[in-house]
Amino acid sequence: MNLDAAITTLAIGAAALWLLRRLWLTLQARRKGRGCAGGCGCAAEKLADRR
Amino acid sequence: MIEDAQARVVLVGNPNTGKSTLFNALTGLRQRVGNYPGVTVARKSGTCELADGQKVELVDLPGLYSLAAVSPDERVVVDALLGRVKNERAPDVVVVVCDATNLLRNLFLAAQIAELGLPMVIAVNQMDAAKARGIEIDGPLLSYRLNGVPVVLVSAWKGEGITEIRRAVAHALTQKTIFPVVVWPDAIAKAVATVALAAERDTRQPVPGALAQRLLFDTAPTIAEAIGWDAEARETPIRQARDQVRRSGLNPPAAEPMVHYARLREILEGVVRGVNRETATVAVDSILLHRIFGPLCFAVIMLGLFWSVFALAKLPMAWIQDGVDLTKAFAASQLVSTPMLQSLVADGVVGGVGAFLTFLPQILILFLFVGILEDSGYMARAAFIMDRLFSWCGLNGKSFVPLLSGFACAIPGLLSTRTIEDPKARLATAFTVPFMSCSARFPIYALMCAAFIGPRYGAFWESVAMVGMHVVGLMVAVPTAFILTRFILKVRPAPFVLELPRYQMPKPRDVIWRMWQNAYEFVSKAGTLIFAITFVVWALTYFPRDPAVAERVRAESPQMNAENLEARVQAAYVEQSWMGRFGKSVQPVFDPCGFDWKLTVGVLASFPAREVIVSTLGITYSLGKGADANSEDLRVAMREAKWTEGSRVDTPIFTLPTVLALMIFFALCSQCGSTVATLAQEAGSWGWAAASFLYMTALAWIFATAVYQIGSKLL
Repeated sequence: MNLDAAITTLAIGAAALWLLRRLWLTLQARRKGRGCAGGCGCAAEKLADRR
Repeated sequence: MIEDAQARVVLVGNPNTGKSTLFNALTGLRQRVGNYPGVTVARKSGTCELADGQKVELVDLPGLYSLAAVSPDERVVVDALLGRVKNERAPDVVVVVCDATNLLRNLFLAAQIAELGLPMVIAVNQMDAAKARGIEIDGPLLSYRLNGVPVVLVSAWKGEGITEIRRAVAHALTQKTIFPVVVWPDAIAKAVATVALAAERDTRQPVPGALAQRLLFDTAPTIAEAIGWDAEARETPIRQARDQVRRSGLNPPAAEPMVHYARLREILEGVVRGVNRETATVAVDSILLHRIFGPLCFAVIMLGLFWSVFALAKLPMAWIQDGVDLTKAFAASQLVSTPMLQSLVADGVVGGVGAFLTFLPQILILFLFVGILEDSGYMARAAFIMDRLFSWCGLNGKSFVPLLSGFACAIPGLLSTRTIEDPKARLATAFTVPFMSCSARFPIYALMCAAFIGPRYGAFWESVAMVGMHVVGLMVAVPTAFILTRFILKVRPAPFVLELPRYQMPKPRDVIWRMWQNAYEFVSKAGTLIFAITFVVWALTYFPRDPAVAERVRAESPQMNAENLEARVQAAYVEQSWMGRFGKSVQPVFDPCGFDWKLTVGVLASFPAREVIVSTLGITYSLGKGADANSEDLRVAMREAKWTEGSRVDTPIFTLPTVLALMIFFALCSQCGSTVATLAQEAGSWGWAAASFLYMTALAWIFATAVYQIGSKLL
């Protein structure tokens, strides 16, 4: 695999892992009955606040 | 982290008295505030430093008119005051926040809380509004008549009286200043004692007089359930106690306010002076709440709002687009030696995130105007105008706040259904909230309007389309609510009781904060969720890259010039990518709506979060043009897009029926994972969430198909 493909694969893998982690956090927050994924400016606790 | 040893101070009061504004002023936090009742639905806490340097935990609670708690948000307050919240003791001091323009009614709640024997401070807020109306309040005299309970005159949003509150709370903590309790008529006192004895006997726990009063007066079983007194056991003693009260000539539910108000009028004699001048509010309301002019004004305001959003955002949007184009060109020039990475950065990341970020100016301007309308007190009037619609479809009057919040985001809208007492009405409202056109739908509406409706039909029709998209959700929500409330849930109609807030000059600090908060959320979403998704969407749209595809295209078009040939090759690569193959296999489902495979991919990628559509379209259209092609505005690329196969080959994909069908699909479809999960949580069942998802998605497809098919025949 050349450098071009290696960097691209690494970047996509990292992004996919981050998305999976976010999905997991969202599901956990929902299960506990709190948290908002954000984007609405609402007063609910944001996922980002707990990082 | 708030330490357990800290004293706990709670803010309690009627709705819309400025508790959250006072909370923000005392803690330095930024809790959401609004000029209408019911903005706070759950407890929020922060740390507040008192005048003596002591740090206390300050808790902001939802507003309520009486301790006769029925709805979930009111129960939160009663539980907090009784110390029945898990891992929390009762508060050390209660700050009762009163509206200076309506002190008598506000002190009724204070008089009820006095029965709990908790040290108290009275914060008479909104003194600036009271002064403007010619009302004067003698704080020291009121404090004297309340046995030394500190009374502080406050104007929280101006920051006046905040230091005095810090001093008063410190004083109340050390001196235990108690609001004097009322002397009950003999019949009530005896009835309360009867109930207390019976409750203690059955539950085997001490039941203080304050709780026994609630058991006697309240029709809702909140306190009985809280102390574990079962319905069968309590029925006879409570009925007998109420009969005792009736025999003395008093009506049990009316007796409590009657006794309290009689005493409070005596206490306030000479404390409140001046005339309550409300001429301005009354005059403005006579027009804005008029049966004919009211809805007309509402329509004009909404049209003006969206027209301004488009007109004012045009220039900054062009600047952002120029910035995106420059970044794309720069990234492409720097990564020539690594073509795969070049495409990922230029077409994927910059193309996708850039397409999304272009709408930032519109979001900023939209929330500036929404903030002004909310803060001025107009939004509550808008709800009043909609009342006829609400009552016709059987929705509860309190559905207004959830539905209004739903226009920003469905999640706070769903959370604020907690203000509704009737669980069935709460469920019906929660089911309809996701139909409200949230701000996440805005970018796709704006993209379609700016690319197709504005250039062809002008700014007026652009605004009409935007208003239409915000109304369409409401128009579908109304019959949905009608069917739910009348035939499925059989909700009992409830009267619409909404305290209209007074008009006020919007506070720049709050309006700008709201705007900033939304802009921050928007940009941080672009930098996180949208950014990450662009990598995945790019990869699915880029791979696999079979050289045979390029060879086949070149062999088929030997005469074509190099630039056009390269574009054709890139388009062929995208069509045979994983995303292309998937989109093409699913496209027949969306063909009746007029969506090609690229739109189909966009729609499917948007099910977890609907705003993903813009970045997905940004990537698929950018990749199709090839990394070396001139960087191009997504709007232009979409205008030039044509069907590549089938009966519509070489005709434009984005005709007016397709554009309207796409907008209506996004207006009605359930495309937000967080909303579905929150609905399940608030409804207490995944069944309702699944039903909502399937119902909304099916409706979206049906309406989009109808619009496209009918539109194609007519136009």
